[in-house]
Amino acid sequence: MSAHAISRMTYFITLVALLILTVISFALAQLELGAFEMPAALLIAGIKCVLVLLFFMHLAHASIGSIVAVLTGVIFVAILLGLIATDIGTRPDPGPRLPFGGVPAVQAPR
Amino acid sequence: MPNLRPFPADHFGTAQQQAHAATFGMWVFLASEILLFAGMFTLYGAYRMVYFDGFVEGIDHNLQLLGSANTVVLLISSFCVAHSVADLRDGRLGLAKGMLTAAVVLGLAFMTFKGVEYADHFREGIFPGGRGAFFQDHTTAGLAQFFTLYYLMTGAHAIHVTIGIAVLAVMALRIHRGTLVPATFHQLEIGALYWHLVDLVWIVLWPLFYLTGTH
Repeated sequence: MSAHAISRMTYFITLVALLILTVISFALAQLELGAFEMPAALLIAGIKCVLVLLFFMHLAHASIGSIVAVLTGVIFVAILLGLIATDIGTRPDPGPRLPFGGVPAVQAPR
Repeated sequence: MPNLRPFPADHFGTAQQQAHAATFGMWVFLASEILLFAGMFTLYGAYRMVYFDGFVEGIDHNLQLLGSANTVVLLISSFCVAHSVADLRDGRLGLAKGMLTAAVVLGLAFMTFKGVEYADHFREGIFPGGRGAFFQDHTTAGLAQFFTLYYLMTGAHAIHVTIGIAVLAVMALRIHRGTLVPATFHQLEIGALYWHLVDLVWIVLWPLFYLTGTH
């Protein structure tokens, strides 16, 4: 089984790395990074997810079948997010927007 | 003596084969969970692109310290659970139980913080669907969408945390009663995978709802 390959020390180092990344992410949020804020936060979150998957969840030593299952999920998420982002990002400005519930209201331009 | 089910079960050739099948099944389930949350993440991304100002205002309104404390709480609990799997595997039953209990306590702490946060929002009149007094005074477009997604996504996550706490508590109890033993530690490993998924989802939710505002 997969857990044989990972020592308790590795778990501890992984936890420390995760906590350091959390502090970095928190510190970056206090700075005004503007357009880089979201990509930076998501990049750190992505690194943290990979650490949890590889070491806490033993994916580094899991069977090919398990890895394929995870990759399938991740790839479909990427397709979903990517295509919707390109759709919405390339639409012309839709003009005044409806508030929640769809009742029209006067709204100041952005 | 506790009543143990035969291991491996009749339809498996070896114990390793049964453990492998069970772990693979769990990963397939986790992949489907990722897709469930992906739908919500996509909604978030789409609405954020359309209502950027409302989302930034909403994030600024959330309690950043409480959300960040919850991130640390879940990360440590994940470490405890990973540790307990190794402990059970090596026959250190007391330590395995202790680590699981610590994870359960941390999970409860997470839910308490979340409850405090929800209560704070309710007091201010922030409810799902853009209902409540808050939205009378704060009319930035997208605020209602932001807080509806906030309740939907953190709520779905909180349901998972609740189930995870129950799973870990049952595992600790089974170790205590002697029905979960080192030979079948893969059962704990599968429960642990679920808890780590809960951690993974929160790792992504945290920046989306607490960090990427203007603060």
